[in-house]
Amino acid sequence: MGMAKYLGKRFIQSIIAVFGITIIVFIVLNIAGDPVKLMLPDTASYQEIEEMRQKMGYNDPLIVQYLRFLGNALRGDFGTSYKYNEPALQIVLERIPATVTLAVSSMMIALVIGIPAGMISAVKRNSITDTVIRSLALLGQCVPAFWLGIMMMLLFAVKLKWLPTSGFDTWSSLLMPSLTLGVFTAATITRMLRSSMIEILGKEYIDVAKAKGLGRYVIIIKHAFKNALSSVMTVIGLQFSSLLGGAVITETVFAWPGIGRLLVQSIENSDFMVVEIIVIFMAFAIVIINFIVDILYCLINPRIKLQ
Amino acid sequence: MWKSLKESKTGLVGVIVVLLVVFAALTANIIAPYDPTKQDVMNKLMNPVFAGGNFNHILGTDQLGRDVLSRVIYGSRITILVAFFGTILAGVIGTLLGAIAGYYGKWVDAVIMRIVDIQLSFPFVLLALFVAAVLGRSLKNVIIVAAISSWVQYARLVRGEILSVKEMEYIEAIRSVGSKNSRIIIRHIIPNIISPAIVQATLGMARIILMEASLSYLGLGVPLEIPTWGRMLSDGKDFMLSNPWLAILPGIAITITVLGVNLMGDWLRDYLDPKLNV
Repeated sequence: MGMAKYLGKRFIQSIIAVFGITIIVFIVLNIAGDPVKLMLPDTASYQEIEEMRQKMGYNDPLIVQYLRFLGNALRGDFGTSYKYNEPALQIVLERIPATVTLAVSSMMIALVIGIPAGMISAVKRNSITDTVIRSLALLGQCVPAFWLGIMMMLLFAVKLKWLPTSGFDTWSSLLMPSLTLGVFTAATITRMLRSSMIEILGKEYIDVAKAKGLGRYVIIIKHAFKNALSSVMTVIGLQFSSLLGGAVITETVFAWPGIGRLLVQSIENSDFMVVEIIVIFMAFAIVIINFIVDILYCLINPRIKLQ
Repeated sequence: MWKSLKESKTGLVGVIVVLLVVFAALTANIIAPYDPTKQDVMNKLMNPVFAGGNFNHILGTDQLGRDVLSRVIYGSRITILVAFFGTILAGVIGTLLGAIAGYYGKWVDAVIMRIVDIQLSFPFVLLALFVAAVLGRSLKNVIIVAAISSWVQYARLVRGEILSVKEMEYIEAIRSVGSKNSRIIIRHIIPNIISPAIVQATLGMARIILMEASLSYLGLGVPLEIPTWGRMLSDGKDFMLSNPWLAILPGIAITITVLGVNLMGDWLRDYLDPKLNV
């Protein structure tokens, strides 16, 4: 299959996924509860509720409601937040930059830690360095992010007073949340890169390169790492999904003003319009990132088998 | 199996940790020194014995004077219940859907695989939050969330295996002599997937334990009055100045348990499926 055809197919699949997500979100939220009751005071009579239902279109068949929801969504109208009494989309958009900042800086940290650690671990296989890196990577996948965050707060903010405990005022306040969120991804990248590098270093063409008298670092960087890169790309694509999920918890721990914390607050407040947008936005972001990863994947390694 | 376990030190450690946690969960009402919900405001916020406390409350007490050791022991119950039943439910759903997709192929397969795609583009925490928010706080709902967030791996595994078995000539041969589908599934497909499924289940449990802890931390797990490690942590966070151990200890419990399960899973993978090990 040609690259264009493959990417075309993936594009269609992504669109289907996005539609599927909106359907699921819509159905779940409609089971969730009666938005009309939330909008009216507790004292509202049955008749008032019914009138409101009729007026808002909640008595129409589900499919009609869904199409209307989709139509409104395409025009950027996601309804009004009950809690803030403002357009729900506006509230979410204001919080997006903070989450993007956090996600990107966490991914940076993960790459800066994970790539060298994975390479060193693979090259110095079975040495003490390797054992230490592997143990730390395993630990990094076992520690709950929120606990790590609290422990860092305890150490750096409460005991040593080096960093602010929470909020997003200065760049130093970005450090602890990004580390908290990045550790799991760093550990995953390390483990993945180690195992694919070891596999590649055992291949025949590496022996050929050695026989040609190429330097050790040339072989490691140009031959082994370049080929291991595609597996790292896959991990990065998949990790963005857990990164956005993890952001929900990390933002709550550090009172970070992003959409993750907003999501938890909106769930507590039953502010379902806001919940709806955040869930759709996150799913959307992940579908797009995975599609971009697919494109990069093809560019890095054109000979890759496309299924 | 025993021999392999003795040779793998990390595997042995993992199995011992898991057995200890299961033991604590099963016997919590016997081994816990106090009722985990009993408040004693006269003795609140006591430090653990190794940090200046006393032996009446080995791990200290929380802001309501409840015994931390007893709460950690009882907390293991929710962890184990959710990990165990969540994994079983995920395995059942995943196996069924994967088998249907692989067996019937065509549009049935396409639909199920699209659901898998959608599932994979949902961060599981997000999914868990969403479902928990909609269904409310209860043990049953946490188990459902755990299952929904992990059935995909089993579905892919079973589907892949069925697709590869379907192509094999001997299956044609068996079918031509009149063997039933159910017999083919039981005799030829299940034995092939049982090892990777066990490995998958163990490593999946580690993920579920972390997920349950996150949900409890956010207050969206089981009802708030039931002691869980995640909940203890989020309560303890507010008392970091007076008794930091309230936040430290439950985290250690979670980390050690997850580590134990992962080590056990790694050993099982090496033992059951040597070709998977890179």
